[in-house]
Amino acid sequence: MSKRNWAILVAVILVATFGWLLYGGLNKNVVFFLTPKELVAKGANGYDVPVRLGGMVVPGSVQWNEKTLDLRFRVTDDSDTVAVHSTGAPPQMFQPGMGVVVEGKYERAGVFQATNLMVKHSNEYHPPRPGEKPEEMYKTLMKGGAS
Amino acid sequence: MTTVAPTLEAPRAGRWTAFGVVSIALLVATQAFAFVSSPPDENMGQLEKILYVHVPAAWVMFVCFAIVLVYSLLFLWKGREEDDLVAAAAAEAGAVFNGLTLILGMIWGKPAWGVWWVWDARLTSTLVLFLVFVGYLALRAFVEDPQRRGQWSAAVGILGALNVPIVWMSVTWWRTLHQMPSSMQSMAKIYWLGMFANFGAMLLVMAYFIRRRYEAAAVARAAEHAAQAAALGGLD
Amino acid sequence: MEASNWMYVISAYVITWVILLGYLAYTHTALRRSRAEYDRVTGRAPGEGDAV
Repeated sequence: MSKRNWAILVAVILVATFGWLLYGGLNKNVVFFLTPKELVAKGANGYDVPVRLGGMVVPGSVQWNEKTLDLRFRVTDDSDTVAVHSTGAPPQMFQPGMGVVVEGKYERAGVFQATNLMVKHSNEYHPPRPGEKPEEMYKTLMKGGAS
Repeated sequence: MTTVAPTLEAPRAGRWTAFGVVSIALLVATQAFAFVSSPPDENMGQLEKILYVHVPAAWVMFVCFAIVLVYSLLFLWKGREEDDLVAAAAAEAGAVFNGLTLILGMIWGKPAWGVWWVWDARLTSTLVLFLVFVGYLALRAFVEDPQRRGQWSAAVGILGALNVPIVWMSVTWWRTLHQMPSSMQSMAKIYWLGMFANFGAMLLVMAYFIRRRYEAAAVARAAEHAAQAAALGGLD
Repeated sequence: MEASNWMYVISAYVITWVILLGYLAYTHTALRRSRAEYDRVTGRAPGEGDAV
């Protein structure tokens, strides 16, 4: 191996180590969303600032008004629960018990006003159990706990 | 200028045509098998069929960049020009599968998540990986001298390949919108089968791509050597 | 809902094959060009040399 190639290899290893350390430093900061517990723990600092909140839709908490397109539900991480209000039809996968990430602001009244609603589905994939049909699942979830 | 030893010979075509035909035919078969055999997912319905193109494409992309890593190190170690050309061929194929993975991921994201794209750790790191290897290919186009081109692209190739574990682990290390890797437990067997069958077939197609891209580059270099030798007036 | 899901699935497969077959065609074109250049430089008639 030539001297020049050794130099290149050493430089690459140095840059790589530096990069990995940088990634490690980011480790705690690269969070796509806060959990309800973290948002609540921020106290006054958590209000009225753009933030993403992620958690599970509390079963039985979904209220969907077809006329005004208002969607209300609660998001939990089993430690804390935050009430969410969003407008418009949710993604088709939205349903009670499903993971969601909402973008918006947590208002002082204690309601998270979402401007964007995303589904964070799990890594589980399987066909419906006997007696269930996917098409029907969608219909029931769209009505899920509805008005 | 350091000249690369003019030992590089134009490779023979051999039986690769048959290999290519079989690979493509096999991929058609595994795609059809997965598409037809898999029942709709409980939550995602037919969207589950996107798994058989998105996931294999992502895995094959990882394999391509692992090949780049190995052959870049080999080139720096031994200085054989052929190793540099294999690394370049794998990098190009990897970029193709990387781009495919990103596009298919977006097609998954819109119906399943509600958004085409988010800047979470998985999606962002995959895009960074793509840009690094696009940069790698651009670098090769700009550097004329084969020796320097090999050295510089080996450096970029190794750095780029070191991103692969970061992309893979991103969903575990950080909180992302993208879900964690599935396991045998979290996924129906028939879905696994479809995914692995397509991965295997796509791997063969990848091998064919890399071989053909290597061959084209090696023949082109052999032509350059021959032209140089001719210009020297048959001195050697 | 169902119909639009099929749209996503079908576009995923169409894009996959357009990209794979497109790249396949590109590899063959590039290879043919390299071989033609090699034959030209080495003064062989096309199809005569080792590289073909």
